Amino acid sequence: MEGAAKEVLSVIGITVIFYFVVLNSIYLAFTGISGFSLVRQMRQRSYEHLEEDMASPLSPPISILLPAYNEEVGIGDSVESLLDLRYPLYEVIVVDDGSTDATLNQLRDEFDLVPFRPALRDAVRHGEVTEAYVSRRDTRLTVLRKVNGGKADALNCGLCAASYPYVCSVDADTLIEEEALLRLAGPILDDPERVVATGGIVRIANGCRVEGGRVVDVGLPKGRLATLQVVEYFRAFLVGRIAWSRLGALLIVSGAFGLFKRSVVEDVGGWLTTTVGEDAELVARIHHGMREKGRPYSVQFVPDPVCWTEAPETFKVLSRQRRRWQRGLAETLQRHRRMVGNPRYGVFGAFALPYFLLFELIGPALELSGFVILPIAFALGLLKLQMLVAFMLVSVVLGILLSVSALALEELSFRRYSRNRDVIRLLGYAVLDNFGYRQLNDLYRAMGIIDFLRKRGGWGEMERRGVGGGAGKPVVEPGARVLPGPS
Amino acid sequence: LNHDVLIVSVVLALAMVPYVILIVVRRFVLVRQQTRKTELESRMVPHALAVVQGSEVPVDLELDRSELEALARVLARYSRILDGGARDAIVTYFEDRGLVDRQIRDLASHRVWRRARAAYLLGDIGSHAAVHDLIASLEDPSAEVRSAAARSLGRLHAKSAVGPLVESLARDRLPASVAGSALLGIGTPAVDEVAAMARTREPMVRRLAVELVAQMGEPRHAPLLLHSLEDPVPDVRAKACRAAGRIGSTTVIDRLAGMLEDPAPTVRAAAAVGLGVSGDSRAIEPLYYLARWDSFSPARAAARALGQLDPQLVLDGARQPGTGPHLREEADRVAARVF
Repeated sequence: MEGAAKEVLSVIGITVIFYFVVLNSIYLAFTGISGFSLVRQMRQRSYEHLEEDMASPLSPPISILLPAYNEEVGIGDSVESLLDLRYPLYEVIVVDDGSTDATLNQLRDEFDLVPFRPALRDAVRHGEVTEAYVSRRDTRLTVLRKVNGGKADALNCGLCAASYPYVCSVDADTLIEEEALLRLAGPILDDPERVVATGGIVRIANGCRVEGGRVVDVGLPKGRLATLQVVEYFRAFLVGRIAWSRLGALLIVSGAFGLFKRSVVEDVGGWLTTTVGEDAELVARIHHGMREKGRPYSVQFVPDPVCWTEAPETFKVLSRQRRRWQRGLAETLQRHRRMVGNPRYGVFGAFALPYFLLFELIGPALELSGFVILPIAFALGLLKLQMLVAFMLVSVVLGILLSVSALALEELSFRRYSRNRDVIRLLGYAVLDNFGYRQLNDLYRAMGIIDFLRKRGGWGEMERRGVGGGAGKPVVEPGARVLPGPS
Repeated sequence: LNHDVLIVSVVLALAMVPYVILIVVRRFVLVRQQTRKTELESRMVPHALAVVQGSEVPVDLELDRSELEALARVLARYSRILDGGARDAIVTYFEDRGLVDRQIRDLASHRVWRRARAAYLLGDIGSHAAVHDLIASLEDPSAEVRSAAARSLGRLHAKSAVGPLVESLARDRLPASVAGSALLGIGTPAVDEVAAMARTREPMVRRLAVELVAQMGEPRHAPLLLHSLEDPVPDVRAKACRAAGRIGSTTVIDRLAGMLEDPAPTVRAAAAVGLGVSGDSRAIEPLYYLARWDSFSPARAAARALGQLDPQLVLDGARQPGTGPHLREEADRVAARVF
C-alpha cells in the first residue's frame, strides 16, 4: 500500500516538474518572441507619422459598439471620449442593456437625445429593442435600449444596428486614447482581405488622472492589489498576446477594445450569449469558421493602442472576476474541444488551444496541488528538503525573472509610467507578485473551474469608482480578460 | 542544497541583471537625453525662424555640432507643416550645408536604422535632389527603409515615383497603407498611373487603385472608373461606385443608376451611397424604390442617400403606409438634424 502511494506521489511529482519546465520554457520563449517583435515595431513606429499616414481617407469606416449596464457613473465620460477619437469616419452605438439606474437619463441629458425608429439587420439574434435615440448634439451617436440579456446580447444588438463594415467593441467602463482606433485599424488598412480582427492593449486606469474622459497623467494605483495587476497586465499583453499574435494563434481579443470585420462576425453567428467568455469564444469561432472555409485570415494584436480600464481593488471583486474569466475559458475550450490538438486548425488548434487547456485551464489546479503534494511527499520521505527548497527557489526566481522581463519590455517600448518612483515600485511588485498574489490567483482560477463544473453562472458585480473619478456604485465587473501567464 | 540547483538559481537571478540595468540605466539616459534635446531645440527656435524667414544672416556660424543637429530637427518639423517659400528656404539651408548629401550617403549605410532614418529625414527636408535615391530605396531589403522611402516620396510629391510605388505595392513590397498614403501625397499627377493599377490581376490592388482615384481624381478622370464598374469582384465594383459619386462626373453617374440593379447587395448599397454623394436628383426615383424594397444594406444606403438628396421626400414618404423601416429611420434622423 505504502509502495503504491509512493509510486503515485512519485508520478505526480515528475508530472509537476515536467509541467513546470515546459510552462516556463514557453514563457521564456514567448518573452523572446515578444521582445524581438516589440523592438521591430518600435523601430517602425519611429519612422511612421500617424498625423500624415494613418489619418488617411483610406481608413475603413467603423461602428463602435458600447454595451452598457448600470453605468451611470462613467457613461458620459466614456461616450465623450469615444466621440473625440481621431478617426476619419465612425459612429458610436451605445446599447443600454436594460439598466436599472440612470444610465439612459445621463446620456439623454448630456447628448440631447431624440427618439427614432431604428431599422435593425436580422443578421444575429438579440433581445428586443424597446427604445432608440439619436443625438442632436452629435449625429454619430445612436443609443439603443433593449431588454436585459447580457453583454453578448447587447453587442449582437449593436452589430445589427451597425452601418459600417467594421465593428469595434468597447466596454463602457473603459477610456480609449485619442489615436487608439487609428492604430487598431492599422493592420486592416495594410491587409483588408486577410485581417479579420485586431485587439489592443488594455491598461489599468487606477491611479491615473483623468480629465474629460482622457487619461492625462499616467500613475500607479495606490492600492497593492491593483498595482500587482499592472505587472500582471504587462505579462499578459506585452508577452503573451504579442507572441500569440506573431504565431498566428491569438485566442483573446479583449472585449474591452477589439475590432472585427462585421461580415465575419455575422457569418459565425455573432457573440455567444450563453458564455461569460464571449470575447475569447468569438475569436475561437472565427478561427474555426475561417479554417473550415479554407479562407486566408489573420487575427492580430496591436500593442500600441491604449484602452484604460478599472482594476478590482478588493479581493472579493478580484476573486469574482478571475473565477468568471476561468469559467469563460473553460466554456470556450469545451465548446471548441474538436479543435484542441487538431493540426487541421493550424497553430491555433495544434498549439494554442492545447496550451490554454493544459496550462491556463488545468494549470492553476495542478500548481495548487503541488503545494499540497510536495509537503506530503517530503513528509513521506519521498522528497528531500533540499529538493523541495531547490524547486521553490528556482520557481520563485524564474517567476521574478519573467515579471521583470515583462516590465523591461514595457520600458523598452512604451514607457507610459514616466515617474522614476513608479518604475521602482513596479520592480518591487514584480518581485512581490510571486509571493502570494500568483498563488491566490491560482486559487481563484481553480474555484472558477469548480464553478464551471457546477455550472454556476452570473457575472458578479464590482464596486466601481468610475475611471473618470465618479462616486461609487455597484456595476458589472470590467472585462479586460488577463490570465496570469502569457494569455 | 543541491549544487546544480543553486547554480541554476544564480544563473536565473543573473539573467535579471540586464533587464534591471535596461530599466534603470536606459530610463536615466533617456530622460537626460530628452531633457537636453528639448532644451537644445527650444534654443534653436529663433535660428530656425530666421532660416524660414529667409534671413541673410549665416545663422549656424556660431553653432556647435549638437546645436546644428537640433536646428536640423526643428527645421525638419517645420518643413512638414510649411509650404511655398518658407519650405524652399529650409531646403536651401539643408542643401547648402551638405546635409542632403549626407543623408543620401546614409541611404547606402550597412546599418538598417541609419538607412531608415535617412529615408525618413529626406522627406522632411524636402529636397528633390533625393528623389532618385529614395526611389532606389524602394528596393531596399529592409521593410522599414522601404516604408520610410515611400513616405518621403509622397511628401516630396515625386511624380516619377508613382510607377515604382505602384510596382512595389503590386509585388507586396510595401503595405497598402504606406503605398496608398504616398500616392495620395503625390496627388493628381499620380491618377493615370494609379488607375492603370485597376487592371492588374490582384483584387486588393485593383480595389486600392479605385479608392485612390476616388480620393485624388477630378471629373476628367471619371472614364478611368468605367472599367472598374464592370470588375468581376463585387468589392472592386462597390469601391468604383463610391468613387464615381465622389468624383462627380455625369459620365459615370449615369452608369451608377444602372448599378442599383447589380446582383451583389454591397454594390447596390455602394451605388446608392455614390448617388447620394453626387447630388444627382435623377436618381431619386430608383433610390426610393430601393429604400422600400431592397435587402437591408442597399435599402439603408438608399434611404440615407435620399436623406441627403431630398429630405422632404423622406419625411413625406415615411408618413405613408408600408413605407418600410429604412425610410422611417431616415425620416427620424432627418427630423433630428433639421428640427
